[in-house]
This record gives sequence, structure tokens and C-alpha cells, in this order.
Amino acid sequence: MSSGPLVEAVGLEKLFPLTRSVTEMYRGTPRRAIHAVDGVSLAIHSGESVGLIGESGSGKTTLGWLIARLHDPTGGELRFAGEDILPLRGTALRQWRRNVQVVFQDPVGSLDPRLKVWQIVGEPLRAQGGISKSEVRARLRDLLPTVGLPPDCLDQFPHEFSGGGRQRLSLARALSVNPKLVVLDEPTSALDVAVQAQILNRLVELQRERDVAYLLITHNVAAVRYVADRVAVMYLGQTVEVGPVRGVLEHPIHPYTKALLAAVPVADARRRHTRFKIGGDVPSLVNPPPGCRFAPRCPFVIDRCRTEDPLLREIPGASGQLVACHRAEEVRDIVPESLLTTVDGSPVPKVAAPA
Amino acid sequence: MVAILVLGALIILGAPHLLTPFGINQLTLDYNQAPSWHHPLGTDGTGLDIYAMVLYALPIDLGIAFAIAGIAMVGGGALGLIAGFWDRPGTVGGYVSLVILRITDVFLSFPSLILALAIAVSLGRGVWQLVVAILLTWWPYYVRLVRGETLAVKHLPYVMAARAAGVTDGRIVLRHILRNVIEPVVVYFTLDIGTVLVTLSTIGFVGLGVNYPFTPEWGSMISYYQQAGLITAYPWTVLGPGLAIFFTVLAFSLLGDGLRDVLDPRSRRVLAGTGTGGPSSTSPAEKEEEAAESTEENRDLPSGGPSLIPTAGEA
Amino acid sequence: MTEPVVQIQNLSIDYVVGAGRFRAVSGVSLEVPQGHVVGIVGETGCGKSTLAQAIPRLLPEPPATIGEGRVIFRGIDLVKVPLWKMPAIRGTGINMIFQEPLNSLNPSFRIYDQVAEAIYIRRIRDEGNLVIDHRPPAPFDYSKRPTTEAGEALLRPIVPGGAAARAVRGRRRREGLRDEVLEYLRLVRINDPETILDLYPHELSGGMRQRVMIAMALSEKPELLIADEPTSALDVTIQAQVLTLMKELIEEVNTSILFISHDLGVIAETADELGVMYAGKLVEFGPVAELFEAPRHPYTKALLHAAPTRYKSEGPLATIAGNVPNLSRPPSGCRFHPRCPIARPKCRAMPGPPLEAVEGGSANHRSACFFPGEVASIP
Repeated sequence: MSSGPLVEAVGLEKLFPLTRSVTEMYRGTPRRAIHAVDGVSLAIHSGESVGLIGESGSGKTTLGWLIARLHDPTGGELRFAGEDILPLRGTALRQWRRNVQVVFQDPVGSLDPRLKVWQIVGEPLRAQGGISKSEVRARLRDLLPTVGLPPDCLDQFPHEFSGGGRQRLSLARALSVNPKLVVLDEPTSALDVAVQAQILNRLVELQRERDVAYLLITHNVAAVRYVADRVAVMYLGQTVEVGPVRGVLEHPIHPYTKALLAAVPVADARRRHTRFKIGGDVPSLVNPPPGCRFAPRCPFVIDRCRTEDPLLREIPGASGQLVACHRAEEVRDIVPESLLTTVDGSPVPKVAAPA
Repeated sequence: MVAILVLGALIILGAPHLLTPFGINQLTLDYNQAPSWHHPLGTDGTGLDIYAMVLYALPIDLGIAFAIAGIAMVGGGALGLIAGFWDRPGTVGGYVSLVILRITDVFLSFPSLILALAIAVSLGRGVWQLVVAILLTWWPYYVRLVRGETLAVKHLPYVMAARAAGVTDGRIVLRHILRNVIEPVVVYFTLDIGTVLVTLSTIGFVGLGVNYPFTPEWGSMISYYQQAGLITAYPWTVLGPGLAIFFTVLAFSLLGDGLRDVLDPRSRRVLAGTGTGGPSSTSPAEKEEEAAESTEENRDLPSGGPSLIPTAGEA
Repeated sequence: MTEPVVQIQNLSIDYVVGAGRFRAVSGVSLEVPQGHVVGIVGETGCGKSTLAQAIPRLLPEPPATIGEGRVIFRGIDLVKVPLWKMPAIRGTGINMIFQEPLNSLNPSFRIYDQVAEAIYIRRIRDEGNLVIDHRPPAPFDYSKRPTTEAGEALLRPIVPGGAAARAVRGRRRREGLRDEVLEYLRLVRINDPETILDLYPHELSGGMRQRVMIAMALSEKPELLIADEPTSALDVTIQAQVLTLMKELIEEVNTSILFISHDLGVIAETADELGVMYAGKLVEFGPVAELFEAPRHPYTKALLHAAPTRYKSEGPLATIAGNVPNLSRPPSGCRFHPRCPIARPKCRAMPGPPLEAVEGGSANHRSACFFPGEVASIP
């Protein structure tokens, strides 16, 4: 078993080209593309949980799907257990798929409404071949309790389950082939708070029982804090900060990470008097301008930010944490609370801190 | 109940001679008689009982209509699946689906009735010629319908999940796409029977297609009697087949509508997935109440009430 | 102390499903004081959106029926008002913004037309006709605007007739509203609003759309604004911006808001008072700070513990055992008893605990629990 990372993505890029109008073609304007993922490098080790945080348009979902080989990247390298998996096609690709499974966001759309539970959850097993129907059912009967479902629900239909139940079904489906990595794409955003907590508890327990790595893609910072060991923050197709969970979430360096943490609503009555200071909208992903992508909204922006792309680099004194910011050393000690103001002069309550 | 209906349908289709004392094309000596108890729809100039002929035409007409719609559905549907699923530009599938779509567009650009008539003229009279003529103009509609539905289903997460599981494309199409696409297609098919029937009757009416009185067929019957020029004197000759067409098409339209109503709300509730709240959820709900009190473990069985009105925020 | 803007008394809403009916909202009583923001929080299926939509009678009345109770607004019981008269009250009396602005804005009309329509409705109702004189809009302090008795409002025709109204139909006349449209768009902190006047909703970002919705809602100067999960569909940073905007507007415009959300953090940011709903019933109500520090209902406490921002790094997360009950067959007695850590036999046997004032709390802090004093002892 190699000691290197399980999944290694280097400079992954995914561009979705936009079709040109006839006038544009005539004029010869260069083709525009949506830069969904623009040069992202990420490593996931065996048995580790990596969180991928970002808002819509950050490319986190696309990155997850690239790693699961549901999309083909338009650039970069992707290695799994040391081997280059980009050239895989056809049967070889299908057989490789047992290594990486995906749990999707939509609890309703993830499960075929016309199939029974055993057919849905057993599909990856049957697709890998060579297993009889009764064997599949037997294995599922053992598998379902581990995700918190009764083993006798094999013949029910998805619509008989609640949202949390369906996500457990998706999880069971993903785990049925004992993958090395499960990509979880916003697994809890469609669920109630109490059910979210149940699912996250279950995920952590399962990781202890099996040797499975997670790539948890979400915008829910607290979920990442609980489940993940390392976290990568993405903005507009690029990673802006990567590092151990406690380091990044308690001492964020990149201004966007600070803004994200300050923006999360906290169940603290003193927040009634706070105001969030970061303005601006997420700019378009089409042919982004040079320079740092957060520059239009960043409170610490300088001229250099608008012309030169910042690279992910390690900052002295913050080991293991990579930041893509020109002013990382200067802004590192600015706390996220400074991005909030209060109207009555009272001190800003701390942003989501660990209990 | 359903069995009785099906049995009745089979009898009417398979054995029309059970419902009338006259054999097919049997000439009686009662010429041009108005409708009476003996001849419910009257007779024509040669002594044929109209009612008998209408009955004998039923299996033929419906048979032709089902054949046309059925072959169009299967053939056009298959093409639609291919064109919908394997349509990524730049691949072999992409080119194939492009070709399919363009040919479909060409056929769709002709008014179907005119085209069918033109083909029927060139092929001559007869049942099979009629079927081919209409079929050639009918299949494109199914291609479009199935392709649209396939495109809608193709991007749903459960198809992605199947791909991620390593299921081959063909099996994805057969297991996932087909089952979820078939519903609107069946509804359309049922309504389509009526349309095909009208079309083939029209072709018959124009004088092409089936050769009456050798082969009974409603449209041809109307055409034949209308050409004889004696409608004003003997109106019942065209009334019979005309009413037959009307009621049959109406029946299938209603059937299609009913089918759609039966299938749609259920499937919408199925897809909404917020618990069925009906009789099917009583026993799991009972189990759930006891389980919730006795176990620590959370068993996610049907929960919540039916939310028929999916209000914002109650997702 | 002025009268509350709206008072809901013992409201129950039923849905008629086939042969049976089930009660989505049971006996909810609360009030929205003038100038305050009241939040309603609850999980999926607790009836909060149903309640919100029932106040301006926006629920489709064939499947939904108001079983009993009163909704008092401006001295009139809205439950008794016939549906066809309700449009007179909506808009300028009670207005509503929804979760997904892409659905709430008409995709076929430009932004200018949509905001202008809202302003047009208000001007017609306030002034009887539309005076195009380009005067600056009146100050935004809604507490100062003259209110009319609801009965009087109902008597006015919904669609104004007469020469004055005829004169203002058509786009050319609505050009005169341009200044006010721009004023309202600036109010919701849209810089350079001239640039978006001619755009369609799908050409704007989610945050901008929600701001346009807020501008439309506020331009009608409603006495009560109902916000049904207005930020749930937005990204975190955009949500923070919109919430900040709403907080600033609350100060400036001085309107009363009923804010529905499933997120306690969002409620904490905006609301003065909070009502917690469970399985169609209101289980606790009171000032936000008091509810957070010293909840007097086990469900409130459980929700607070399960809130994501309190996640620890270690150990299992706090959850609430069991499932949300099926409303067609609710549990006997207190609806929360199957999942309550301090449940006693009394909780199952006695019919639903009444919403009563708690000891040691503010005057309006009420809880529907038989043992509110013991909630503090739940870990």
C-alpha cells in the first residue's frame, strides 16, 4: 500500500465552453468559457475527511464530480492510489468506480422513484457483477442497520421515507461496494437541523468503523468542523485556503474565509445589533479577469491584487495552512469579527466558535 | 370489474359475429332499409347490414390504429431514447443522434395528413399500404416526445448515481430512463389512437386505403356511400360508421385523460416524497410510534404529514 | 403601548384530503407588536408557512380551511372577510415576501415594471388617483403614516375606476413613477439602480432579486410585512448582506415584520420576539434573548442544542430523538412527549398543555409545557 495520498489532484481544470453567436463567430471573438474549476490541487489521504467549503459558483460540486470521474477535466492531472486515472475508459473505468462513490444533495432526485430499496441500494453491487440477487439482499440486510435503517425495508419505495431516511439510503448505496472514498455533495442541506445532526453523527461513526475517506462538500461550516480533519475553502473555481480544520476555522487567514465565518448566522441574540460589512455579489465565472478573484469585494485589497494572481503558499508560523493571498502575513491576525460592526457600540459577539 | 371490461373488449374485437346475426359481407335481400329492429343501422343498396359492417370494421380499424401507433411508439421511442441519451456532441452517439434529429425534423416539416395521402396514393389500396403510409408520417412525434422526456430524466441525480456505481449505459437506459419515461408516452399513445383513427378514416374517406366493401373500414364506408350520391335518400348508411368513429375516438380520448389523471398525481406525490399520509402509511406510522418510544436509534420511517401544498420553506 | 399590528387568536387551519381532514395548525395565538420583528421558527411540517400564508388568506381555500380562530388586523377579523375582498387589504395592509425570488418575480416583466406596479397600487389606494407630479417620496417612517380602519379600506373599490385611473394605465403614464422606483431601489442598497431597470429577473443574481422583492414589498408601505424564509435560498455571504439590509430597513422604515425561518441563527439576527412551533402548535413565545438564555420548553432547548453553530469538534452532536409526528395522527396529550427528555405520564394523558406565561420571565414569555421550570435542568 503506497503511503502517498489516496487521491491526488494537481491543477485540475474544468471549463464549460459557451457557444458563440453567429456574429461573434464572424468577428472571430475568442470562445468564452465558464471556468468552473480553474487550477485546483488537492490531496486526500486514506481514511481522512476533507471538507470543501464554498458558496454557489465556487466550483466545489464540480471539483467533487471531477474527482469521482463523473466529469472529464479539461486540464490537470488526477491520480488515485498513485495511478493516473484520467485515461480510464469503458470497462476499466466502470470497474474503478467501486473505489469512489457519491452521495448527492437532493434526497428526492437521488433515488429512482420506481425502484424498490433493494434495487436502488444494491445497484452498485449488481453493477460490479457476479453477485446473485439473494446475495445482494443478504448483504443489504447487514448494511442497512449500519446507516440506521431497519433491515426489513428492502421492498419499500423511496417515497415512503423521510428526507433523512432517503439520505441514509443514498449513503448505504454508496457504502455497499466498500469504496475507499465517498464524495458527499451537500448531504444535509435539504434536511432539518435535528436530522442533519443525526446524519453527521452517523458519518463520523461509519468512518471509525470502516477505512473510508470522505470528501464533504458543503456550505455548512459547522458540519465541516465536526466531520472533517482538513478543509479547503473555494471561491470562484479556486482554492483560497487549505489546512487543518481547527487552524483554518479558528484562525482564518484568507479574507474570504474570514468573511464566510463572519457571515454565518449565530443563534446569539446579540447578533441583532451586528451588521455585516462585506458587500458585492459573486462575479461571473465567464472568463474571469486577471488577479485575485476576491479583489472586487475584499476589504484589504491593494493594487497588486487586481493584477497578479495569488498562489497557494505556506505562511511562516501557520504550519500546514496554505493561503492564496498577497497580504497573508499582514492580515492573518485580523479576526473575522472585525468584518462585523455593531450599531449600539457593544462588542461584536464571537462568530461561530466551538462549544 | 376490469376483467369484465377486458373480456367485453376482447369479444367485440375478436368475435364481432357474436353480436350480429349476419356474416361479414353477407348480402341480405333487404335493400335500402331504414334502421329497424332487424337492421339496427339499416341496410345499403346491396343489402349489406350497416350495423354488421360497422362491427366487422371495428377490429380492423382498431387493429390498424394500434399497429400504427404501436410501431410508431416502439420505433420512434427507441430512436428518441438514442437521440436523447447519447447525444454528446463530438462522439459517435452525438453524430447518430444528430442524424436522427435532422431526419425527424424533415418529416415533421410536412403536414402529416398530406404526406400520408401522398404516400398512400403511390402505394395503392390495401390495408398494409395504409399502415405504411400513416406510419411513415407518425413516428417523428414519438421521437420528439421520448427524446424530451429522456433529456429531462438524464440529468437527475439518480442517473448520475447509477453511472457512479458503474452501471453500463445500456442498462441505465433500460432500467432507469425507460421506466420513468414510459408514463407520459403511454398517455400520449392512448390519445394518439384516436388521432390515428381519424387520420386513417380520412384517408379512407378520400377513397384511398382500404377497399370497401371487400374490407370493412369506417372511413371507406363513409366514402363509398357518399360517392354513391344517395346520402340524402338513405342517410343512415353514413350515420353508422360516422357515429362509430366519433364514439371510438371519444372513448380513447377519455381513456387517455383518465390515465393521465390517475398516473400524474400519484407520481407527483411519489416524487414529492413527503410521506403519503394515506392508508399505505398507517402501519409503518404505528410501528414508528412504538419504536420512537422504545429505541434510542432513529429509524427514519414515514414522517410528517402530507404536504399537498408545497409551501416555500416546507421543502 | 399601541395595539399590536396583528393579533392571531386560537387559529386552526385544516387541510381536507380526500375523505379526511388533518389539522396543520392547531390553536395558535400570538401577536405582532407595532414596529417589532416577530420570528417564527420550526422544523419542516410544523405549520409555520401555513400560518404565514393564512394571515393574508393566501392559502388555496378548497384544500385548506380555517377551522376556527380569529386574525385581527386593524380591528377587523380577516377570517370573516370574504376572499374576493381580501386584495384590498393585501399589498398596502399586509405584504409578503417569499423564499425563492425567481418564482415570485414575473419572469416576463422588467424590473422597472414590477416595482412600478407596486408603487402604482399604493398610490391609487392612498390618494385615489395617480398624481404625476414628480415630487419626492414622503419620508420612509411608516409609523407616521395615517392608518385607516380596515372596514373603510374594504369599502374602496379594488380596481379603481373613473377618469383618474383610466388616465394612468399604460406604460407612458408609469414613466412618472420612475423617480420613486429609483428611490426604493436605492433604499435596498442597490447602487446605480438605473442599470437594472431594464433587466429581467433571470438576469440578476439571487441577492439582487431578493432586494428587488424587498423594494417591491416596502414600496407599498405595508403595516405588516410577512417574510417567509426570505434568505434560505441565498448563499451565506449574500444572506448576511440581505439580513443586514433588513435590519437597517427595520430601523429606517419602522414597519412590523413576521419573519418565518427554520434557522435559529437567522432569527437571532433579525427578530425581537420569537415563537417556536412544533407539529402545528406554538410551544413557546417570548423575547429572543430570554428564549435563548433560558428556554422554558424542552423542544426549544433541544433546537438550540442542535443548532449547527454550536457543533463541537468531538463527540456526537446533540440530536432530538425520534421523528416529527405525522399530523394526521398526532400523539395524545402534549405533542412533543414521545421525544421529550422530561416527559411524565401527565404529558401523555392530559390534553395539550396550554400556552401560559412563565414565572420569572417577561410579561409576554409564554410556554406550552406542564413543567417549564424543569427545562433548565436538561443537560
